[in-house]
Amino acid sequence: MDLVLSTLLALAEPKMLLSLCAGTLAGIVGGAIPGITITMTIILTLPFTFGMPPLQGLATMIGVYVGGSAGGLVSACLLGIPGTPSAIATTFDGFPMARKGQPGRSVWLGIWASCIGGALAGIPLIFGAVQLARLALDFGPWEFFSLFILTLSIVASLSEQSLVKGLIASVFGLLVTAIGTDPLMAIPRLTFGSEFLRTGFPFLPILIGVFGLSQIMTDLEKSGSAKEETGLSKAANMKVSHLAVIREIFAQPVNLIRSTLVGLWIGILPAVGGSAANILAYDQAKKGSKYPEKFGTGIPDGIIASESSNNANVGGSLITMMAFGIPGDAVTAVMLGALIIHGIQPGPLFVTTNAPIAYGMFAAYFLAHPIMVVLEGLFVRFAMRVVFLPLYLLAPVVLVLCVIGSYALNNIMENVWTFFIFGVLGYLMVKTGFPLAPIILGVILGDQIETNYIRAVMTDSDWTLFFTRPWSGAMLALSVLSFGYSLWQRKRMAKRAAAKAEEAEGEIEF
Amino acid sequence: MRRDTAIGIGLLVFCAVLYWQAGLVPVPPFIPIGPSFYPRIMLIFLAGLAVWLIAEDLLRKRAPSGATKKAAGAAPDYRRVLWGFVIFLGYVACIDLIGFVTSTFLFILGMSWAVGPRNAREIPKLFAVAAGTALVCYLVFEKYLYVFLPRGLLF
Repeated sequence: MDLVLSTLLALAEPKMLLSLCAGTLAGIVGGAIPGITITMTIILTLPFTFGMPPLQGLATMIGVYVGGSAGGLVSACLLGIPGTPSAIATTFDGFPMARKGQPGRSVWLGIWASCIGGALAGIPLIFGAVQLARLALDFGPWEFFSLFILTLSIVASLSEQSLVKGLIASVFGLLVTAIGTDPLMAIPRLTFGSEFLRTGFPFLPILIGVFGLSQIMTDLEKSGSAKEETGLSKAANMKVSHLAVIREIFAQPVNLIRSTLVGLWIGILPAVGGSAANILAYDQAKKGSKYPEKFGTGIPDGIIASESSNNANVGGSLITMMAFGIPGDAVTAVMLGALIIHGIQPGPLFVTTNAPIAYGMFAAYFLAHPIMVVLEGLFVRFAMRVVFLPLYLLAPVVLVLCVIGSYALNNIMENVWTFFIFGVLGYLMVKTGFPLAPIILGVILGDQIETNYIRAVMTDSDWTLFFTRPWSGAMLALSVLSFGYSLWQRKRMAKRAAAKAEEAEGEIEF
Repeated sequence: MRRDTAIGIGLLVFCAVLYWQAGLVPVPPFIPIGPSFYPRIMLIFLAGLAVWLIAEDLLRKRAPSGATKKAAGAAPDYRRVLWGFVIFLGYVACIDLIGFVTSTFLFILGMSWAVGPRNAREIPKLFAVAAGTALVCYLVFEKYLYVFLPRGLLF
């Protein structure tokens, strides 16, 4: 705790504070614009952090993450369009409340719930990350290999689309890392004699392409602007009693804590993200409510559940990233990339060997929440104006920043071509129903899976150790369970859908 | 041919080509596992999954003709996407040739015109956004952050 306090003081330096504020503001604005996700915003922020010291860069990114998680609620409440997928459930009650003539209450319930939920999740972030990192220090290559396999299996199993497509995306991501020189002996492989492929594909341009270019192109498909149809007044009355709003939130302690825990847990699960957290928390709030029929009509319960969970999700994602070096979602994947650029190896040793940076990240996380509240208060109107920017102006500017983000990694155009190639691939994957998260996780974990597998086999040729070492065996068993559960759940859903279709057919015949 | 079946077949071909390519990697005699071991395992996995994808697709009941419903809302405008990709490809190809600043200006102008409303009254706005973005990127990244943006024949 002393380290957190001392780094809090370090972050209070004007330069650091300015970066954190700038990041939070960028997150709020990016999060408020429908179509610009938090991932996209953090990708756009990335090139600005290259020249910063590691902690300053990471503090900026944490600001974007926290700001973005709360920024999506502005357009969700006032436009009825979630600014980010993590604010989808906020729309269900936020927009009806705003339309009832209470836009200020609707937005501020969300902002304060985000702040409180996020701050509550900060406590398990500090203790959870440190304890899990200590546990991971006892891991050998067998355990790491099994942990990465478990991570990939969870991500593939949780894919909304087909399980096999999730698995294909994971293995494809792993295969991408096999192109170029191998990590142990630096022998080139799968290069077809090409110099371009000899060094392999760097991770960040792949991530920027798969998420950035594919997102922009998907947005371009929609020719009309939905924003114009909502009839929102830019001069909506945002005045509200903050004390009354905070009281309203604390009047629902069960909803607040349950939603925070849901967000935290979903954040810890790799690559699931805030989009699932807010919907699950909303669903749980509705199921646990004494008046579930009122959900969707503009009651505070729904806003509190959704917003406290999506900011708590940030804390959960950071736990996984800091303890194991595994990204909790695409945003932490970019942060991992930034750490590597600064020469810091993420993983269980990160918290102990880079304590000032790790604790600085905890402090930045805590500090970003009150900053987010202040900035939302000051710039909520500005964010609303940016929301109205037409896509045909926004898209090329965003693409230019993506190009710079890829190029500036090591000042070579090959990275921009990698960005383009994987952008096209990402778009085709979206159009053919392949999930994007598993491919990115595959690319991040590919080298580590290979290295740990070979280390394990070279240390002891007995392959049964993967199953007989307690942690390793347990994680592999969990991977199998995860697949089994996913298959069973999908079968059950298919059966239900078939039964419903039959019922509908029967009704039509009568 | 069904879409997923076609993807599965494409993946099988991709796996076969890479498997053959992995066989060309020299194996160091003193290491029990060569550099081609891992990619080959992944390729076998991927090929197996491709077969699963094809099987799943072929076993899935085809919806009776006329039963498919069009999703509510406007149909996707793929022409804008195609324009977007073509112009962006041209931009990436031109950066090294004519320089970052000039190509960025032309790209923003061209793309916002191609995917926008194509209204003559918009032209001054497009010019301002294109020039402003190119200039701000140059000043922030090259002058402030010392990212040496590519220079070409122009600027």
